[in-house]
Amino acid sequence: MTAPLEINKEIVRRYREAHNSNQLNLLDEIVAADLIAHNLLPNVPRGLEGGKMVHMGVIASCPDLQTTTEDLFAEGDKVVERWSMSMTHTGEPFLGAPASGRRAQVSGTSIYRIAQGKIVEHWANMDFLGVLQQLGLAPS
Amino acid sequence: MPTQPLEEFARKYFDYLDRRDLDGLATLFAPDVGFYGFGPEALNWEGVKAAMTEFFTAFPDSRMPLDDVIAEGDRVAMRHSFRGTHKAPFQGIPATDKSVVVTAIVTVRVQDGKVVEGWLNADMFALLQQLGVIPQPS
Repeated sequence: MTAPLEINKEIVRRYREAHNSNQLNLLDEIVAADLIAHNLLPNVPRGLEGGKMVHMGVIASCPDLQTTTEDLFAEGDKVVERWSMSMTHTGEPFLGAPASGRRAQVSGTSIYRIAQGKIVEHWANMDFLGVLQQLGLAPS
Repeated sequence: MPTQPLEEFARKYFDYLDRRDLDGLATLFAPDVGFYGFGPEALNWEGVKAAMTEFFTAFPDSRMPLDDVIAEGDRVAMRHSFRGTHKAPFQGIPATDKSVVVTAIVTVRVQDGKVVEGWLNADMFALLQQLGVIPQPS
């Protein structure tokens, strides 16, 4: 039998892979529809559907978006993922600015709470200011 | 390492931060720590101390409550918030007297009771918005 901590880590690995392959339908099996997501930008719809919308919006602007898991560890019903993200603004306008061809690479940390095999709550902090600065959308 | 000592380590770490006690915090750090998140380069303890001193000088009433601790092996993640009033220059921004509340997650790797590696992700975007440097979203 696989230890519960390893099962929970595997759920987060599937969550990351679904995003990196843009197969967001795979999230339905591992994320609760009424997911509680903290630290999101304002004006984002709640729940799993809101998360999918944000991802598809970023992909439209930065089609090469990839997130690499740098560390994954777990305790109790929580999993911590430390990650780095890279993206190049070659597609649709991003936050009103036309594509610049600029690339951003930033770090972030996510904490997932898992219940009955699904991610039910999510906290994330990332270097969003770094994204804006590296894409030329905010002064350095 | 069992998880319990790291939980205690995390409580101690944030007791010091919440009291702005950098001499206390120094006892938990290896001098040659590699600490990421305050800029493009990793900082050693002297660099971390200088960065935190800037925060504590600019926000002299700051508090840093610890909201969650998750530990496994030699790593511990600490989810917390930072709140304070902007009373002195911060990163070139003159005092605004504004109150800020931002969230962060810091992860550290601990060896022999000392932080040897660390990663901070703090919501600097929200901090600058609350100081009025970046426009608030409509």
